[in-house]
Amino acid sequence: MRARDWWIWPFLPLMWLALYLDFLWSPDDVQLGPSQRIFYFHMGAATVVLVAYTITLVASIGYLISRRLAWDRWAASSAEIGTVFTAMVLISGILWGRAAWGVWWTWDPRLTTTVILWVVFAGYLLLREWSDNPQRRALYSAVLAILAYVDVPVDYMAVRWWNSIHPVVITNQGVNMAPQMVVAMVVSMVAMLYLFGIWMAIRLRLMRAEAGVNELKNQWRTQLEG
Amino acid sequence: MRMSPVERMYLWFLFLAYAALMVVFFGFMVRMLRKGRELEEDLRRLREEISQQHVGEKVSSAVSPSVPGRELSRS
Repeated sequence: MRARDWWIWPFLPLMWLALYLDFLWSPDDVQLGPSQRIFYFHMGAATVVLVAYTITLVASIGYLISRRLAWDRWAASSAEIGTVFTAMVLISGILWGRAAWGVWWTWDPRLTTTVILWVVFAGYLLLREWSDNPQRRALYSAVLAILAYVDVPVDYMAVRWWNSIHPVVITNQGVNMAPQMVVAMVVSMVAMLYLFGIWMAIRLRLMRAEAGVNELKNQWRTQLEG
Repeated sequence: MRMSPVERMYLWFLFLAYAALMVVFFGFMVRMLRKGRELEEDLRRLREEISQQHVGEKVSSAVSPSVPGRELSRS
């Protein structure tokens, strides 16, 4: 690996620190005991979901304005990773819900809007496989991504707008947690965002290469036919 | 709800297991980044090669094996 990728190296100590804080340093919850630790993983993944889908939204708008495929690659990469992290949020939420509420699943507004978000963005990824024409694919995907993003603020506000049993951690009065837990949560969020950044770099490089190969194939075909 | 020493030890095991998992995952990401960069470099070279090949250029054929055509006389 060349020196240009030096920025990846702090990830490992940062993730180790986050794991140490989550598992060993942070205190047990009074009611939930050690199962509270799922929350740090859950919150970190949820933060990535918010960032990832926001990047998809911005890149989709960017594509519709400029019609440059580089925007589409950003949107697609971010949506792919966001969908994986949404699955992580759902799985960790299910585990936490079993410990906290005694049930694996309930159709709570927050849980329901999160499932809808995951399904809609999974549909976005399926739609991308539908067309081989890059411009057409980018256009339809951008429109769907903008429509799908409507669920992101709804998901965030669901616990505030409707009766929900999902805890509200970040309020207007501050963060409803012990200071040590807040530290563990913030470090987990930073580590997860770092992971997202690395993953984006990998995915963007692959997508750029894929687009370059397709471009060369088309160029070669045109030359042979001409 | 207080944890017993054994449960506390389980947390250590969990921490070590996840830390080891992250090492493997990190190695995979480093490898993928390197591969991605190599792929981009290969693509750049391929693009250069193709641009020098003049695939679409039409050349007249040689009239006989002993008389070179334009494509041979040029070199």
